[in-house]
Amino acid sequence: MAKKAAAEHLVMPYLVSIPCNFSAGPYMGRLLREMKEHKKLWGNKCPSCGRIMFPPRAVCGQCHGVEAGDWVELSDKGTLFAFDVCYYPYIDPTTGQPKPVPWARGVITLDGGGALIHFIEPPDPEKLRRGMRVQAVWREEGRMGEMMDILYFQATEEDKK
Amino acid sequence: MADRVGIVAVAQTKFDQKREEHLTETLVHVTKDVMGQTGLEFKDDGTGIDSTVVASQDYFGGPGGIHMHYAYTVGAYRRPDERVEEDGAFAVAYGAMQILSGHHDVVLVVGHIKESVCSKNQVENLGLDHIYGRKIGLDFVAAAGMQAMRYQHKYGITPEQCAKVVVKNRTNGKNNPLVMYANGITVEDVLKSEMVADPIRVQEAKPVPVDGAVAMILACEDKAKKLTNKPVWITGMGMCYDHHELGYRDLADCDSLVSAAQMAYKMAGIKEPAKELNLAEVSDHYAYQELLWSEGLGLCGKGEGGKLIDKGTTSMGGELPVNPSGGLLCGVPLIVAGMQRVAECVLQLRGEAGGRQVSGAKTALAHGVEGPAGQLHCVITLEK
Repeated sequence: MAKKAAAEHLVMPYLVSIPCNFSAGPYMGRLLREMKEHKKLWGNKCPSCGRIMFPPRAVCGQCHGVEAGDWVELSDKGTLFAFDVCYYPYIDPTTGQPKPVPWARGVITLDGGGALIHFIEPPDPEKLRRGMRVQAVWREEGRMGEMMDILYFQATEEDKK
Repeated sequence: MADRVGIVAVAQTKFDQKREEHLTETLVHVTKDVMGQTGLEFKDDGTGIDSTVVASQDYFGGPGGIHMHYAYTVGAYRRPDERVEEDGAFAVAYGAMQILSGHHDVVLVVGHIKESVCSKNQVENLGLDHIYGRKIGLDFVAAAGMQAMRYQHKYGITPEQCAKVVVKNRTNGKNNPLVMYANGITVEDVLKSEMVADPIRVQEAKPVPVDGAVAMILACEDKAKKLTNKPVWITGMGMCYDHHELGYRDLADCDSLVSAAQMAYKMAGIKEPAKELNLAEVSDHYAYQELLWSEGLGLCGKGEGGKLIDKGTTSMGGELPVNPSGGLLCGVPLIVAGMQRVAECVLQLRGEAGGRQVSGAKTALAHGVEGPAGQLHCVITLEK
């Protein structure tokens, strides 16, 4: 049977872009300002269940009935709770450019409470392990008041030994 | 199946610009307000709020994704939570259906929008089909302009009649402490104001940007009676979609609203809405729409929206006041719009509408609309 010519499909690239003015408000706003100005992480504590919340929030998602106002300075050191090393191409949303593979991200439980997700360096599955001690590496110049003011987390000196 | 659905509490924010607040703070306040009125908490043992339904639009929360990010602020923590990307009146209807189906007894419904986050026109442009609508810069204002032009032409509706809607609603709104744009504007002022999308002038369009949120608690009949001594009952609900493409419709008519209204009236046993309803809160995103939607709702005959406003029927003190709250023309965010219509009906039927109270109100209608030139409508009838 003669092969039919494949139908030509029309595909149109399309980009959606809308400028937004996002209001950080007092809770997120204080955290981001402290990161920018003092290289410090802050969370808040639910007065009902005592949970340390990072990122800081207006209300505890679990207890709901309380407005969480008690500020707590958090450590920028912690323990790698979970991580993954990824090998698929990744477009950096802040630059639109591809990042080199592999790359690693992990959940870090901060000393004294709170947890966050960030890049882990180096992205080497041989060197990363759950439970390892990690520390934030801050951007020294040009911090903007955003999570990328921390460049990545890496093993602490004590852990490297 | 539950017998009836009652609205047992409503809470509204002030409708202004909330640039100093993160969205979660607005949501926490309005949610705690409505929960505080009933003493209800989030419970998974059937003794509190069983589920939540939330209406919003992702772009107006900032960079998108807010439906997932901020669910915890309305108690969506290890419990059922549904999200509606449509006018808030639909969220009320979906919440009521959860109860009517017997699936849940008590449902929290929340609607929120921060129009100050980004351009309403740009978001609405994204609401259009990307091949046929977006590239010609169509948005809901431009669509409304075409509809207003067609409506005025087909039925002889005059610019003065449309301007009278603005005067009526902005006057009514003076008695609503939650709105920012109530004033003593005159027909002449309206007709002299800047043209936006011919024949719609700037004073005939809902003010933008406005931020705010509404929350309410719905309950099955027996629980509603225990939770408040002034329950307001949902008697009828109807929803209907029309073609998205404007070219498929005669914009001077609103067939999908007619269908939605008939569905609600059938459920409620309402045969003559103009006589049986004591008030209506109609989504007046643009002045002409109050007239056109009144026709679709059967508050007057087809093409008679102009006569309706001329006769004073829909004014305070008229036979059927429309938008005693001041309507959207006094500044209410989209999406929140239809849900706020329901909230106003509840306040009226509870006799708690202050200086805008329609005396002796027993039955009311709330109308929500979404999409270009009124593509989809939701009609909810209520009684005390």
